[in-house]
Amino acid sequence: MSTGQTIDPKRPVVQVRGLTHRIGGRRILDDVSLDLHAGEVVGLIGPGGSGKTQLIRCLVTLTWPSRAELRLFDKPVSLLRRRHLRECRSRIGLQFQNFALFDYLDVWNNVAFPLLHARGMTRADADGPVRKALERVGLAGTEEKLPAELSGGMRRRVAIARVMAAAPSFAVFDDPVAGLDPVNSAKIMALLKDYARSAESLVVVATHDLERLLPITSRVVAVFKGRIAYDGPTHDLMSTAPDEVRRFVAAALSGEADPELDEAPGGRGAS
Amino acid sequence: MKMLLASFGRDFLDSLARVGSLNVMFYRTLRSLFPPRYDREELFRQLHRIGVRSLPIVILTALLVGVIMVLQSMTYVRKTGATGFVGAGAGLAVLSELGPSLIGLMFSGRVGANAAAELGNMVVSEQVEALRALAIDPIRFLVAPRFVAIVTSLVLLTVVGDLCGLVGGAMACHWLLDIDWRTFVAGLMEVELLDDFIVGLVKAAAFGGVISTVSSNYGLTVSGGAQGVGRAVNGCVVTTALGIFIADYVITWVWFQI
Amino acid sequence: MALWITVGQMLSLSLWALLRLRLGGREMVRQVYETGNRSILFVGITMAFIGMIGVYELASTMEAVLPEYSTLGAATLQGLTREMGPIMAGLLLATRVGTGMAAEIGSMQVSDQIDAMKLCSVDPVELLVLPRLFASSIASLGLAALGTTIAFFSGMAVAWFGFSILPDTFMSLRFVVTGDLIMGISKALVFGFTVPLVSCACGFQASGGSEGVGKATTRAVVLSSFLVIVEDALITYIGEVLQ
Repeated sequence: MSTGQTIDPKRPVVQVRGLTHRIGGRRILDDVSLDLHAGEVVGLIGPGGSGKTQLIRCLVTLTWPSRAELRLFDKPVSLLRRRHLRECRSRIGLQFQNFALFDYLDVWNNVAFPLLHARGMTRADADGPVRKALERVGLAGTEEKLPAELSGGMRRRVAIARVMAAAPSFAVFDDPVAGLDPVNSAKIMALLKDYARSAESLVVVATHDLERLLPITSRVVAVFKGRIAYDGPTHDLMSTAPDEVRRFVAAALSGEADPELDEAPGGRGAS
Repeated sequence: MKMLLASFGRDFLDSLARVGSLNVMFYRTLRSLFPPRYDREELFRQLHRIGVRSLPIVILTALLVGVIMVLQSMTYVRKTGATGFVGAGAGLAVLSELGPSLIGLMFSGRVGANAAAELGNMVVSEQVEALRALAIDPIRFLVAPRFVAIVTSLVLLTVVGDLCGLVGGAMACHWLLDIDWRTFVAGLMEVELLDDFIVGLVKAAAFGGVISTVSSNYGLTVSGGAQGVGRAVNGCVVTTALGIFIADYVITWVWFQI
Repeated sequence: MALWITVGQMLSLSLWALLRLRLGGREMVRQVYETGNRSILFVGITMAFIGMIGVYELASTMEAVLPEYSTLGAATLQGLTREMGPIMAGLLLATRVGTGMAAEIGSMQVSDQIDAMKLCSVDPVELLVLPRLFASSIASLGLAALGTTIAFFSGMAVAWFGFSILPDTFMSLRFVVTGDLIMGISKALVFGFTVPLVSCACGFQASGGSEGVGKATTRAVVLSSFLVIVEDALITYIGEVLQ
């Protein structure tokens, strides 16, 4: 279901070197370098305000960092090469932190939006994948509802379905379970795992719910204060990660507050 | 057809409810003004924010209104040959009518919309509920200082605006129409301007009351997040514009009866 | 500053679309309907009051300068066509439609919907702004014409009941020339184009939750009303020079 081009599995889907991003003189991201490959499920973790959302925005080409060398699908990305940028974006799927559902479109049109516009499919062609994706997230039958008529959890699942329907080669889920009750977050995480296994693409999941995140990931990237504090396999996390990461993970898993890891003031709201 | 009637009826009932709640808001604002127990510092802060910072836009608007009116009365003068009309027509129109109403409209956009948005955000982020929980009346604490500041500023700004409008008219005469500005002033002097100036100020005070009441009402009745705030600001400026012209008509009519 | 860059981008994009005659078809028709429908009652009622006020004011000026009323109707109609009809319709459009667009696009911006469009290779300006721009120009023309008519008739009522001028006398077209019509039409078109241009740009500049939407909306109504007044002065002056 991807756009036809196959990716050499040895070459990284996302390759970034020396990514530095400043907003108003403040360093949000500092010298980040990453190689992400197809077939990986990457968990992006870190305290609130550490720069996760900004990093995601840079990787999917929505924010242009102050300095970086970014290669997507093995080609350098720049604003000037608009055709390549379009092509890249049509293979990227992002579930936004606050859903970004179009409130003037019904659920079907929301989920079909990337298929119709980025892929240029006809409405008849799009209908199949849209219904399949909605069924997968358990929302079959809501096609004609408007986002305003849905609960928060349902809207989140529509946003996830919108990413899945397009079956992108590079899918990012930003906080897919925030504010959900444990039963629903478990369901959604299972869904993401299922998706990652079936789609053969690169999946990045950012969340605070480490208890449910770690079992589905193969690799963990920890962002602390705009820098990458740990990047490696999930099973080595507790043995090789630096002290602060281990403490953060342990605190998150046990549900205890760690006084040193309080959220940075005003970190999340502005993103 | 039935749908159309239903939606029309709903709109009608909604607007009746809005008129009612506007009246309640106005009454409660007036009640909370006496005895004057509001925060002095908050009042001065509002006066500065509302009055002083609206000065540039009011001056520019008034200058342009003067220019437009002079250019406009010129076409009439050319047809009738009454040169005195340039000063008199433009002057009267600026002082009694267009000055107050256009300055009022700009002020409603700049200040009224702002107040609605500000109060709306306080409602959305539950700050107004917090005030109520502390047994502080939001009307006395938030609305009353704004009411006083808005009415005072709009009257003072209209005085400044009137002056700028006349200056703009004289400049337009002098540079754009090649009529000596003294002709403009002479035409201006031929008519009784004081009456019109006073009507203009009465109108400004009334518009201030409308702007403050409508914006507080829409601001405090916001529901539903960012979209709700946007809708409230939209409703606020629309209702204010309607209110301004209705008040304008009533005052003009009363003035003609006396 | 960033706002004016956005305005410039949108202006060039829309002129390009105009050249290629890609005006958005059905979406545009829907927008004309929406814009007109949303403002028709508001513009109608307000213009009725403006007509009545205008006749009172004009009559009092005439009384002071040339103590007779025979040209009242003709002067009212001319003033409405050239000046008051279009500028008031423009200002009312800025309050009604401009704030609506800024609020709508602003809340799409702060909830990442605009970014979601970009990621789907959809140009939000093309999808959201262009149909609104052309629709609003057309709607503005209609509203100005309707408003002028309503204001003229409400003014006629005031002249009849307040100053005993019979409708026969009041209804006089002798001052209105083609130039006045051209000026009125061009003003209405320009205002109808400016208001959504500036308001949408303000919406795209919104940031930071409901507070940002409120700020964008406020900014939109102030800037677009002010531009309407500036453009009105400019067009009136150009008309004056051409005569």
